[in-house]
Amino acid sequence: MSGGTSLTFAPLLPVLVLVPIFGLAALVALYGLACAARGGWWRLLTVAALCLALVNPSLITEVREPVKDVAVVVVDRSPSQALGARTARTERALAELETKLAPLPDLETRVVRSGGANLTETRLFEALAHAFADVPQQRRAGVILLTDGQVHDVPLDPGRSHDNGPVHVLLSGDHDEADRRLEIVKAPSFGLVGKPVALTFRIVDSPSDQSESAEVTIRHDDGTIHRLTVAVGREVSIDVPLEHGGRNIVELSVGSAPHELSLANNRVGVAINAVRDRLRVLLVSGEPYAGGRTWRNMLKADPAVDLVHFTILRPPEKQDGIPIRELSLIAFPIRELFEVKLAEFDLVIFDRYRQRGVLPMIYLDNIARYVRNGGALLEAGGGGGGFGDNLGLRGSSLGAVLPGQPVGPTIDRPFKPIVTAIGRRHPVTVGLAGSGAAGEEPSWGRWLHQSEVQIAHGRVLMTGFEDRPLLILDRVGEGRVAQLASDQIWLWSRGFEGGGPQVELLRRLAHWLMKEPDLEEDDLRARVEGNRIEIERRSLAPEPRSVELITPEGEVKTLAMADDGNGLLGAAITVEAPGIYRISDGLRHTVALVGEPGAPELADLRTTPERLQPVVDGSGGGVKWLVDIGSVDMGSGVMGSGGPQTSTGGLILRRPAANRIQSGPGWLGLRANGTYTVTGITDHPLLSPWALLPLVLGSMMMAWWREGK
Amino acid sequence: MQLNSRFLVCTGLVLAGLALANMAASAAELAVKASERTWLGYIATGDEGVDQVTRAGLEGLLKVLSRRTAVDTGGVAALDVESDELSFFPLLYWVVTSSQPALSSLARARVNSYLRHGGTVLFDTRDARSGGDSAALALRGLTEGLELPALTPVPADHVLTRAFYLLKEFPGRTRNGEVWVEASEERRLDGVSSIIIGGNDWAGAWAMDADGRPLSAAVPGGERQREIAYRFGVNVVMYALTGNYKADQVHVPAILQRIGR
Repeated sequence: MSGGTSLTFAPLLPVLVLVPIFGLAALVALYGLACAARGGWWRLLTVAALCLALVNPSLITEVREPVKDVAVVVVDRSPSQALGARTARTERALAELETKLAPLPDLETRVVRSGGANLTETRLFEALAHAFADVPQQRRAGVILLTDGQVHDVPLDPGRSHDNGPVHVLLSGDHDEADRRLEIVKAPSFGLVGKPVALTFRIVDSPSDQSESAEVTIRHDDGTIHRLTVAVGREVSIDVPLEHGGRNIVELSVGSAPHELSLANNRVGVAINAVRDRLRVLLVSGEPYAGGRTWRNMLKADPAVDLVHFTILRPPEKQDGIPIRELSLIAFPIRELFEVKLAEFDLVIFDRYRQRGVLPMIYLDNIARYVRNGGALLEAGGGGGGFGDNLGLRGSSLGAVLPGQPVGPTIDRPFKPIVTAIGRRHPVTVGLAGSGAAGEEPSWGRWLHQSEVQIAHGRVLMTGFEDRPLLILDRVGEGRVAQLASDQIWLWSRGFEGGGPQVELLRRLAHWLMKEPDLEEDDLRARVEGNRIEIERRSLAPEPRSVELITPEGEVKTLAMADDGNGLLGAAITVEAPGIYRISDGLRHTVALVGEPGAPELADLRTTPERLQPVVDGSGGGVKWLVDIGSVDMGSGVMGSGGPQTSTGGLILRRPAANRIQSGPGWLGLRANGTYTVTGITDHPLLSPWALLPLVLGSMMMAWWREGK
Repeated sequence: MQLNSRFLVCTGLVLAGLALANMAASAAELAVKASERTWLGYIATGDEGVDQVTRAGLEGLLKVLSRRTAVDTGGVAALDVESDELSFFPLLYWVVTSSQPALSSLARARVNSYLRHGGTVLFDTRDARSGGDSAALALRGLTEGLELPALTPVPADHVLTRAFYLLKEFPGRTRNGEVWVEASEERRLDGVSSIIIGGNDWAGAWAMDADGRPLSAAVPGGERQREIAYRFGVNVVMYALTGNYKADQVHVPAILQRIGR
């Protein structure tokens, strides 16, 4: 508690009234004096006493309570602070600051830690703004930043940070640090499958080149590794092939330099999303029938698909002598499709195709080879007599490629297609609308015909009449094959008995055949949200096997996986450092990239005062290196002038007045603003009316008496 | 007497039950058959003479389809819009007569569902026989409440003109009427028109007797006109089965050329 006293006047009448009255009275009194009239002095005294009474002076005393100033200590907890002795030094300095500042009666110290969630850059000023949000500027005593100096949200206008009081920096690293890093100069985020993209990087040594050249290792996500020697400091461009759709990850790493702060920034992962240019689908319909348009509706509605469709409208044996110019028929460009350009197609569909002698055997051989070399084949509805009468593809060299073998005639009995247990875990058939719960009857419509096939290989995702295989998927060589042992899916599109999810099923089927990564049934994937890695394993067998996560620093963590019953097992982990995380379940491997490649946090790791210097200078703060400081002490002259230092190598904290210098060699100031709040006022009128009354009356009497003499 | 009547009632019930069971069995049988091969359906008008000609016409068209194209033909089915399953039939032939009653709301819903799910209806108003105005009136009465799109005369480049044969006109037994299709073909069903309307009495031209002889004369073009009528029939069936397949084929050479590079 402290007090402040002041003299105030509280006139009983408005000044505008008082001034003319007493002006006139004074003039009269002065005129009397000038004329040397008797009693002039007494009259003047009367006027003055009356005036004093009406002006009413009083003495006011304020009851004041001092308000604590607020100082903020911002602790940089960004990943770069984890290097070397930085964390230890920072924590020790923080502990000392807290013990020394805590006892001060007129200072509140707030400690905020910044970092953790944000792994791409250090944002101390954001944290500072939060800490000061409820503190008015006149109560801010100053800021102490405990950091390595790599701060990425330094205000561009240092003048505005002055509001916080002096901004001081205590640097955590060592003088003369040196590091090598690999920096991505240019990386596309998208590319086309099969078309290489250019990736530009360079090796940066700081502060100066440590060697002429360095060896760079490039690792693709299929495991292939390239090495090349590049000049340090020079931009290098390489071609990266994109082998598959979805996320392609390329990892570049450079060997260690003689002086290194961290090897984490010698390695950079780049994720490039590869999309297919256009999906080219060749649809061969064996005959015009009601199901043909189901395929067309699905394929034509897909904007990514280029459809080449051939329907055999007239078999070779049916000639009616009508001149060709009256027909709208074109020859089936068999050689072009099945020899010259076959490999260019992403998917070949045979729909209710029968071997009517249209396709010579040699072309069926080509298709079998195309599949083994990585193509995709979908055979549907060879039924309707297709398999049974040996007119289907079965009799051809495609036989070894197709998973189902024909047995017996077509089954002409109604049935509901059922998703099998494996199908309930497979991305192609999982959660199809209408499939119902396991063991329940699906709500979709029935089909009426099915070919009976015996499975030689492959997986049965759906069954038909009396559990006979209906939809079979298989991998052959590099390629994929699917077989639908019925041509009845069109009953779903025509709404028979309410129809079914034919569009969704066929779309997923086609895209699985074309190796769409989202539909892989056996896959380990990692998705990154900020600093959280979500790991997913799709698997047809419920296997609770855990996964291993290897951090950028080489630490191995084991994560348990939880099964959701739909073929998906998952685990998630929150990590603290950006970089490349390797994930493995023993069979499959994947990589998660945390943070952006070349994010500021991993770019320059050296401790530097440079970034913060403008703010420090603008606010009158100071920069100290923790490595040079032995201990932290409170200065004796708290409100002093910032006089001479007492101990060498120690840091002294002072509380200079707000208008004084706030830093100097060996000491830092947290300004003392001296603000207070007024808790009460006492008002003492100086002149009592009872004291004035005799004075006025007395002087009037005296004036009258003097006049009368 | 009493005994007698009870016996009669019992017999009647048994017979009715048998008939119902028989109907159900034949419906299931038809479902199995009609979903295996391509069947053509027509909406029974109730007018015996008209329905006979329609059936004969569609049977004649099936013979032509079977002889000339790869379509695996099944048969012809007379359908009652109020009760029969329509979804097996890619094409419904629907003769518009002035004696047909308006559709019940159930039938309207069934026909709308059929059209929405990619079915095609060929309305034949047979204007030449019954006089244009009354046919238009009958058509309007019949299609009241159906979700019919805006119509336009068949454009010169429409797929109906080249689905199998190249055609410039679409005559039937007569040939003085315009043929109408959907004006804006929405992309959802591959842009296929669900409605074809004309008045040329195609079934009349297609109809033939057991020996393959035509049942009525095509006027004024004679046998050449009948041949074109068959070709129109083939094109309509191809259109219902393959949609805009033929329109796409214009682009195939360009796509193949692009792929090759």
